[in-house]
Amino acid sequence: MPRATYNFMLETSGRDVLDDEVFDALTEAGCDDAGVGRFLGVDRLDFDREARSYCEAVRSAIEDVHSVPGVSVTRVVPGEDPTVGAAFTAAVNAVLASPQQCPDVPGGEEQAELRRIQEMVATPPSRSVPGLEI
Amino acid sequence: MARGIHPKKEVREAISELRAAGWTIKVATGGHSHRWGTATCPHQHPDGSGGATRCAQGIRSTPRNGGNHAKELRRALRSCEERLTQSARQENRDA
Repeated sequence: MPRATYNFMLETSGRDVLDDEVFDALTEAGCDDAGVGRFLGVDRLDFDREARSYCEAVRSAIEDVHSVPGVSVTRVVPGEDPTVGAAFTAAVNAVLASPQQCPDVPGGEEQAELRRIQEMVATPPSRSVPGLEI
Repeated sequence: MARGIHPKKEVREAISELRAAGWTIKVATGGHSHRWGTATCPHQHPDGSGGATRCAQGIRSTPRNGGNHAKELRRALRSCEERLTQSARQENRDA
């Protein structure tokens, strides 16, 4: 499958993405293809990600962000062309809202990527968050 | 290259557009390798809970793709300006 660049945003909660340490951790986790910022009080990463498909791009981006302790993905926001992957975006947002359920999406690859996202977000992070230990 | 001048031409051009729109560009100091600086908008947007918030965008020192990073900075500027237009329309309706 040919590779293409997909644009979409991930909104996050938890640690401030513009904190020096978090910004560097996100970059080292692979998010050097995302603009990192805050809009109307919501932290977000604006990705231009090269992948074989939209669903692979979104899943790998969520995986990168998820690997940074203390930062959680709360929502996927469609990019410049909102028709790209609209059904997949809606299904991912349903999983992010209720990680115990995995809706059906058309397409075998889409379903497999959605399942991987669900497994990621349903599993609490194993590593402790520096500075947030009780 | 002098501090305050971004090494990538496309990113420099996007930074100029942000500056022209009144954004503040703060160049990072110290040993943080991935962030060149931070751009902050001059507006006070309502944050939805009675407070105000400014848009802020990190500027990468070594983005994977300079052209895409410039686009990301321009999208941040555009969403800020679209939000201002919406707020102005809302005020006109409310007036």
